[in-house]
Amino acid sequence: MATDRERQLVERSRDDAAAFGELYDFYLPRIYGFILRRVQDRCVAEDLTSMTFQRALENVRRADFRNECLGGWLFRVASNAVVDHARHARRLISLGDLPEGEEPGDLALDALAAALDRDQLRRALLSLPAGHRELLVMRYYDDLDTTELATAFGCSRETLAVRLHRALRALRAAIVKEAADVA
Amino acid sequence: MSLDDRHEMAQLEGLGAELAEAGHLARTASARRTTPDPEFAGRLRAELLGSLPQPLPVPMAVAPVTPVEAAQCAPETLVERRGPGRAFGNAPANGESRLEEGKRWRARQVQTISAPRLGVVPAPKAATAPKAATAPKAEVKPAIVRHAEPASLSGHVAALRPSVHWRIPTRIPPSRWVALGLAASIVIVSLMIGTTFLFPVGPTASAEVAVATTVVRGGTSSPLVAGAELHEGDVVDVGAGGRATLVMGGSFVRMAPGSELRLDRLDPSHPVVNQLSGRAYHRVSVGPNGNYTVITDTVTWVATGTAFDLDRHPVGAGGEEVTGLALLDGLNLQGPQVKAALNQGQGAVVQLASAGSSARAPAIDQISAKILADPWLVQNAHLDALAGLDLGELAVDVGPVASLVPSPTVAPTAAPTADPFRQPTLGPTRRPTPRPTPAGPPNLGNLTISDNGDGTFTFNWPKYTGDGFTFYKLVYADWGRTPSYPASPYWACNSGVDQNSWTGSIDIGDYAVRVQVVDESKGSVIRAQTKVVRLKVTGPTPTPGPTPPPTQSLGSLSVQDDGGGYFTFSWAPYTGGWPFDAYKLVYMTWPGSPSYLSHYDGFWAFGTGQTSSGSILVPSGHWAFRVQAIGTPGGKGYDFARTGVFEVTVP
Repeated sequence: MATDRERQLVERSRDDAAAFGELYDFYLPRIYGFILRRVQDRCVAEDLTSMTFQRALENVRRADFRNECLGGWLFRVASNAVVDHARHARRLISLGDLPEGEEPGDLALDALAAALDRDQLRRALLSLPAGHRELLVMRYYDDLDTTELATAFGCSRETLAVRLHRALRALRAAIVKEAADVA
Repeated sequence: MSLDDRHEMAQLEGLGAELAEAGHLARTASARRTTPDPEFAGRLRAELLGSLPQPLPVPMAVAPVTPVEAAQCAPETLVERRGPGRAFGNAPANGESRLEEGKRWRARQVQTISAPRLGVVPAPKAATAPKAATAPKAEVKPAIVRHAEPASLSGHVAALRPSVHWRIPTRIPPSRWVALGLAASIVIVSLMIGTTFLFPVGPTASAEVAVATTVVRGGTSSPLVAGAELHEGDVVDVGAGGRATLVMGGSFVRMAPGSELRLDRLDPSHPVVNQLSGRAYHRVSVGPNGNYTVITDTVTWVATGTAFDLDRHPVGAGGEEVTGLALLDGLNLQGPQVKAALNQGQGAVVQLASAGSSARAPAIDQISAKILADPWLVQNAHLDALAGLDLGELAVDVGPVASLVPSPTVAPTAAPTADPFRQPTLGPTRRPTPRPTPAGPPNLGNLTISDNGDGTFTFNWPKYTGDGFTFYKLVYADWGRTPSYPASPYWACNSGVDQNSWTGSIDIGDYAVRVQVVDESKGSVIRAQTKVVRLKVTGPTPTPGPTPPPTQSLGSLSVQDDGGGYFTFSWAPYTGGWPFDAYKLVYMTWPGSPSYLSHYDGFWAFGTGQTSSGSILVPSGHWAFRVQAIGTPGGKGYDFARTGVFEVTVP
């Protein structure tokens, strides 16, 4: 969705349900897919998706909502919801299902890694620090554009570009290390 | 930039391309699985927007919705019950976590099935629908009003939102453990000895719709009201002009005027209904190991599928016959000298002698279009379609009828219909009831679909010329369901009234497709729509194509600053001779190597004959631009040629 169009719709959403409806129609599949790829449970995904859009509705109607990139904002809320859910689930229900320290975004990471042709690249990707992995997964698997990523990570586009560059460099270094280990 | 830097940049670009391709593959592989359920999408949309699809017209007088229907299609008819100071959509008060908020969504779905807790009132627009008075008054009466809503709350219309609290289990003091143990022991013992001491009442059903209906319990007859519980052994009798919908677990049965049922067993997994007379539409949901049985005298019908219709009526002198229609999946019937299995789309007529024994083998035939045009079936088809249920054979009864525009409904008729399965008898010939004219938005015309042979399809439809246009929605659903905005997903949303075509790639599948003209100014009103068209997309036949040549260099990209953020980009034409689709002018944040096939922040597309972009507005930022000649040899994207990267800074 064009940025100007999106901003207009967000602006109108404060008192126009149809405008919010158009935003909802546009973002629902992406947000739902983003969540489902991480929780693997349709019921949970529906819960978290509904919560994400409820928060969006609350926030776009607030006068102090920063109308910059709703998509990135939605992904940030969805991402936080997934993390919260996994932590609650680990604490309350499925003790031991997730190894300590492993975040739920790793399900998406696994899916991306599984689609890679090169074993070396796959191992290198899995060995990256969580911050780099998360960024790469959201960029290349969830297909967020730069603006969305910047908003989702709460940084400027320039900072985001630097972080992405560093993540790729880290990946390249990890590949080199993998090759050295094998040798 | 040094040579090492360039080398590193190329390596990182390659890594990015590999990741992008893997991501694309992974997304494609999970695309269908990660598509939100249309029912969920529609309901959440309704909840968020506060108002939803106007009351949906059906060709006959519509009975108030069953819980199943209410849960699936008409959340606007459910009144949320909540205390003051907690406006819908606000953040949960006093520290409820977001997870709890999310849990409530699921809880709502469950709760809407629970009839006794529902508060169903007519949707606001139903009450004011123009000339809806052609339907009986009962149509706009509250079906179930369990909670008298204060006036201050009556404006809140949303999905039912019961308060569900859950918390981290805490340690239970020993005394409570003892009490808990005792209670559990009593329950277990009572279950083991089969006593009904603790649970004197067996499983129950409920009447979700009851108009001109009586229930006979223990020899005493009393009017049946909507929401009333029903017990095993109850006989439900629907008078002429009445109707009833009974819910048994996940299954339900809609009773036609003049029908009579006895509820022999109400185990949700193994319900048994004795259809004493008349016609009833059965919708089965009993789980994988369950079964749903209907007894018609000595003939027993066991659903092997999901939806069927039984019509028991007198024929000849003292005889009776039963017509069974397998509408969705199969249906078995068994009795003295009678045993048959019906597949979906088949119907059977079984004649019963006055003594109740089968007189002859059942007559089995395909269900004809004439039978499916029966108003009773049409009415059930629409109710099921509105609930988002699979329609099976009844899919032909909906077509473009379902809409969001209130329109007059056709009064119900209790007249029996002609049944081609029926054997000729000496009795009076039944007069066919005229099929009601389908109500709905005006027909937009025909939707035509052409296969472009490359995985893409082009959809064309007539241009809308009426008022209230906001956009065209090219909506789709799995074949057998009726696509309708906003509940259904869509491939295209054209906001120009002249944009009456769309081309795009479609995943493999069997779809029901149509175009709807949506007026968003009044809350998703469908102004017009095409008929539903079936689109079957099968996998492409892999044909080994020639290997495309190496990517050709187009040299440098020429950029002219036109001022004000406008730039003109020019490039050399591709001369390799391979057919390609378009030039793509792609860009991404500098530094970077944008590629249409892997990663970019945006792009413009130009025809194969163009070598200049003309003056275009570039957004503010620090960008890397490039032009690529993109084609799809063998169905896979490929850049036949590309320019170098050009750095552009727009303040």
